[in-house]
Amino acid sequence: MGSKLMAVVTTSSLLFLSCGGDRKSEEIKPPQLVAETTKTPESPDTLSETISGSEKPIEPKEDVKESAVPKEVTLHGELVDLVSYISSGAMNDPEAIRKSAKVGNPIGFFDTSAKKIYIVGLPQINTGANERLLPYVGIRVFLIGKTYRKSGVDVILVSDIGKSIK
Amino acid sequence: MYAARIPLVVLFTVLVMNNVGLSQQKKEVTLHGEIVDVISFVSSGAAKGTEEVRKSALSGNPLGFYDTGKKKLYLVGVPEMNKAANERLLPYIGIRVFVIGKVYTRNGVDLILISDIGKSIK
Repeated sequence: MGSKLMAVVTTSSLLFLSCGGDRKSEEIKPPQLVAETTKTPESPDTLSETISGSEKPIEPKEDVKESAVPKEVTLHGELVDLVSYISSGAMNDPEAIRKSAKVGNPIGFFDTSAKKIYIVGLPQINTGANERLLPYVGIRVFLIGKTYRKSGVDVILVSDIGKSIK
Repeated sequence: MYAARIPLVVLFTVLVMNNVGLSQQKKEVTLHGEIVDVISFVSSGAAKGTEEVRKSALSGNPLGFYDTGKKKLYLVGVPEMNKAANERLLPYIGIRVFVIGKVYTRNGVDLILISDIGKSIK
């Protein structure tokens, strides 16, 4: 009777192991352990939250999430009149964009591959970007600059602009 | 069988077209918030002083409207062709304002074409 019971236990444990039972037990980790292993020293806010032991889901603050350290990127696309592009979807002909820019409407940049609109600024304080962008209206351009994002709006502070052959 | 389906398809198409039509008819909304310098607001996140925003706007940087309730940033335009919004917004820098206008969204960016602006007491 005892030996039969032992045999049944051994068989069932062997079956359990062969079906990947041990793998499952490895995967199931306590949530705190997972949170701690994903922490990096670069996120002090979230780390302090873990230490304090809060049970709320850890979510980075809006500012941290949206405007992390900006890197210089190169984007390819075309310049648009922001107001008419957003309100009507029209890409406008170069002359119309030029006219609109001259009265003070902002020229934006449409990244054709990411389908994203950027408001263009210059790194110099109190210098509008329109004058620098005007010669490139109507041609495919590349922009090099740092990108920022806040409240759903993307801004690129351009350090260089040129004709794109991409 | 197919003939019976045609009226249904037509009805469905009409309904869809009507819905599209309705969504394209923009309604005017009233928003409360403040005028900001879009470039510095997004890039530095800091709210600038009134004089700095004015200087930046005069140099050609676009002014925007920040809805303080919804925490949403809008680019601002005026419905008249070839007229910029900056001139119209300049007197309202540094005070809480309301704007009335139609809101448009494209590629995640919001724009309001303002028909009216004034000092908000809300």
